Amino acid sequence: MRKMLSTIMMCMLMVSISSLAIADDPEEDCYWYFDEGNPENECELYCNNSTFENMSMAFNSSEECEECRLEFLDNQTEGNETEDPVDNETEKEIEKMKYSFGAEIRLLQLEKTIVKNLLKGEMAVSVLQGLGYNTTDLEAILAEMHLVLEEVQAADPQENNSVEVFIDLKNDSKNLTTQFRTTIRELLDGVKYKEIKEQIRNATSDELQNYSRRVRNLIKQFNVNQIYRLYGIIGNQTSTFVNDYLNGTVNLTQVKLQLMKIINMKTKEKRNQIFSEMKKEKIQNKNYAYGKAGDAKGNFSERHLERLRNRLDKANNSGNEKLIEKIQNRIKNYENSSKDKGNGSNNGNNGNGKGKGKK
Amino acid sequence: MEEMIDMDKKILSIFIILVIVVSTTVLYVTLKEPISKEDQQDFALGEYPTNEDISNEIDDTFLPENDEIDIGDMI
Repeated sequence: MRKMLSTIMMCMLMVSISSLAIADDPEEDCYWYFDEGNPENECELYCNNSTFENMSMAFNSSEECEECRLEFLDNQTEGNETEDPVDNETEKEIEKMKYSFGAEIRLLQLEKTIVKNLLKGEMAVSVLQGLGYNTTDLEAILAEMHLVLEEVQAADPQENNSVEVFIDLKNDSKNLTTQFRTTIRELLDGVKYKEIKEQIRNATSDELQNYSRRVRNLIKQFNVNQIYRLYGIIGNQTSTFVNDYLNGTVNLTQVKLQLMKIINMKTKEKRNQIFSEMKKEKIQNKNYAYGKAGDAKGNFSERHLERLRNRLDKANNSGNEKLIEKIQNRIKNYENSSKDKGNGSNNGNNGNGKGKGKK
Repeated sequence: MEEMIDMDKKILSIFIILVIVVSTTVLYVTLKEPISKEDQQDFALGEYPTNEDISNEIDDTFLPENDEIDIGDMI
């Protein structure tokens, strides 16, 4: 009797242990993460939640995260400007360039962002000059940014290579912005840096507001086209609310609600069909963006070098010594790194995937 | 003999405690499992899209009027 009971007890114990193991949720993970868009933020701990789903990099410890964050900051210098020119965000932006107004919107948005950064950069420089700092390097970066702005303004959205131009110039302006930030960071201590940052945070101008208006109007045109396209899928006649949206009587949220209402009035099968059509279109857009991004990456280095040489010509004409020197150095660095890569000695650090738990 | 009976009682009480522990754990597991399976089924079937699915697709079709390109901050 005793033997039997002890065997049963042993069995029960084993069942209990294995049940506990099953009951334990393996998904209950926490990761350290830093925001690549704003790497100056400290590493933060995220546990299994919706925010975590959107992360691109995750680390098992705060030390790993901090190490990668610092490396990431270090790599945000000139030498890093030839790295992958199409990030996820840019690829998403390209998706909309498939439609009419899409390319125009993206190029105008880029122009507006450069104008905004130039405004803030120039304000920061004038504050620094007032405080007696040497701002030659910063001014040279702004001068090159002006050249990029001219290139964006000269780009034709109707041309076949408009996506390529958008990728190239967005990449250039992003690199120049990072260079400016790094340079100013080296000039100032933490307190002064924060003070100036606060001073220029809400800087705006009539020019910038004009850009915002133009972008908004173009986006409205784009959205109206999308409404017509959706009506085509739903199979309804267009109603007057398209005009109401254009006039500003109804906003985009109301338009979306109206469309939702129309779709909800359909049968389940029709709803399913509409959903499938929308999904199909989305996949086609993703494929379009993926293809264009791949094409742009193809000869990115050659195009970059060509742009730098063109800018050097313009800098020579302007006689800006610091800018000439800066571009010449970059061309030289660029050619050297290309040579290194050609020799198979890739010394560059990609700086964006050291994390063990890269998602 | 009495000692034997006393021993059996002890074993029996331990056995009862074990039964309670095991049944609680098993109950916890069985209650937890169907929920996650149900979730997975909902996701996998996708026979009819929910309002949220359709709403998300509609959102993706349009561009927010305040949409901006991010190239980072100057400072």
